Amino acid sequence: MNFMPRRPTADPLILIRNLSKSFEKPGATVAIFHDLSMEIGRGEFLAIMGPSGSGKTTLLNILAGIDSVTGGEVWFDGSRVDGLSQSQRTRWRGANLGFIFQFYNLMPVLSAAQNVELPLLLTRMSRGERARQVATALDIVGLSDRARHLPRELSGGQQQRVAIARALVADPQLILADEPTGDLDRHTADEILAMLKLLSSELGKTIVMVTHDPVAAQAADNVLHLDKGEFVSEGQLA
Amino acid sequence: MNALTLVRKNLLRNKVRVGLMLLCIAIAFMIYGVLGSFLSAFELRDQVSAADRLMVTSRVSFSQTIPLAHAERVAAVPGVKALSYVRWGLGYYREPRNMLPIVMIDAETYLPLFPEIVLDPAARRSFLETRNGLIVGRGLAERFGWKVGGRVPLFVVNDARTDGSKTWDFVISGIYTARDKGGDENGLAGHYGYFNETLANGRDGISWIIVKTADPALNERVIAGIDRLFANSAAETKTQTEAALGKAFLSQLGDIALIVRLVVGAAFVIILFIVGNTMIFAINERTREIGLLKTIGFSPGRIVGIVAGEVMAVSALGGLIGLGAAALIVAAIAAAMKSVVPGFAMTGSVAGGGVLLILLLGTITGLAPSAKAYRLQVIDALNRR
Repeated sequence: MNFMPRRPTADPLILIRNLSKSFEKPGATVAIFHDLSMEIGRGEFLAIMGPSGSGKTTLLNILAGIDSVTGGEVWFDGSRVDGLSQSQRTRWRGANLGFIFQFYNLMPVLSAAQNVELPLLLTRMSRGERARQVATALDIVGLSDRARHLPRELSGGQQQRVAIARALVADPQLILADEPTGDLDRHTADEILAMLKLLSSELGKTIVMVTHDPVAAQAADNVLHLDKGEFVSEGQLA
Repeated sequence: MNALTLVRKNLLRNKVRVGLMLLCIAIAFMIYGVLGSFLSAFELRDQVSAADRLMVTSRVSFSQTIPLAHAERVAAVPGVKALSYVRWGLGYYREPRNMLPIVMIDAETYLPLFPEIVLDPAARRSFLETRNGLIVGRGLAERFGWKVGGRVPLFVVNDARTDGSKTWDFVISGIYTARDKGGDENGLAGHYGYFNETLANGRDGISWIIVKTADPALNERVIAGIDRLFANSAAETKTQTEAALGKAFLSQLGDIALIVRLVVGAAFVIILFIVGNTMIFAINERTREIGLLKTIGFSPGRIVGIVAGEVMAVSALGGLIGLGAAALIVAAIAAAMKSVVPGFAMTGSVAGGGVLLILLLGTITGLAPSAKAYRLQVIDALNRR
């Protein structure tokens, strides 16, 4: 049984029970998680830390429904999501999730505003409504004046802020961030972290951030430490 | 922004690559358009051929003459309603680049057999009464600026006059038009009698006999009867329908239809590989972006729609440019080609076929890149560096 660091949450947004994940290699089965359980509360800003290969990105991918589980259950907002089909998971992600990547993953041929608008193309919003939503999201990340700029015309920090605007524009409950400051200098990283903190505290977004940077993790409400597929401790590093 | 914006932006991300693809496709469709117009014109000419007209030629070769005396014997074959005969040779007007088929006819019997040659009564009378009269098609008259009453010297390549000269002088008696669309208005015809009586060699030889049967249903029987008549003689005949002869004439130059189809087919197979391969390459380059779209909720079907839209847009744009270029080329050379291929023009069926080919090309070339984008796993795509 894993170390179960978390106090049960009264109304968890995410609930993971007895999760196991393994993959086959020639002649061997490699286990990443075995019997892992956790809860993430609504509006919580949670950082998951751990060394390379500890399984933190795999856990994030499972939460996002882009990686499958070998066993156990994953619940989101009261619904079990680990058994959804590929297309159901795609729709579910579109409706409930925002994703922030280490390397921003912006479409280079689209302007900042168009990149932010991408998730809204999946909704029934009118063009005008989409434009308003995009403007609001860009305003939140402080990039209203860069709406027409292409990603290559923006700094790394600005690109990540566009990615954050894209993650929140469809008003998802959950934002997953994979090393969001990994490609940024300290000052810019602090700005991005402050922004994520704001999204959680002011907009009530649940944020799960994977990072190996202890300074970044300090921005979160809670920090879980993962090693070799197991939670080994909870709380900030000394 | 909408899905079309994504298609457009993706297409324009590498302008050189998309430009080269468009060029390849445009060239293929240009080849299709020009060669297809040739083929269409030839087929149109076949359609103009009458069903009840047979052509009797030498069994040895289309260009070999048969004795004029054959005509009299053919007339006696049961089922033959009327006949006429022709002698033709290659010649030119003024300079060799003005090469023309010089046709010598027995006008009194020939003209009634060809109602598609429209000649006003006065011109017809004048032609019949003028020993060295000549009738010319409207297109040919326009090309050389010929007028009724004008004198036209024609040089005949393989024949000579009794005085050693190879030039026959004619006077234009009339200018004819074609009754049917696509009909030949670029020919000329003089009197066989005038030509024959001044020939140094090969006198009383004819190139073919035109036979009108009493009923097209009798064609097979008449064909067999005529060829049996001259079997094992010094000048055996080969009788066939006018349309079949037209095709046989073309086959002397090579099976044009086959050549057209092979050239177009080869061009399209090459294009298929070039566009398909380039698009797969383009999709490979965008693996992470496709992974991103799937991550934020774009379904595989929606992504396939974007990729297929890009391929179809390239095919459509390149194809339409090519067809447009072909239309311009055909229009530019139609006048010069009229004597060889009357009715040479880009028809609706060629353009329509081009549009179908665009759809086919877009669909087939889109299959592989679309399948690749569809199958792409998000986790693999996002891990791609």
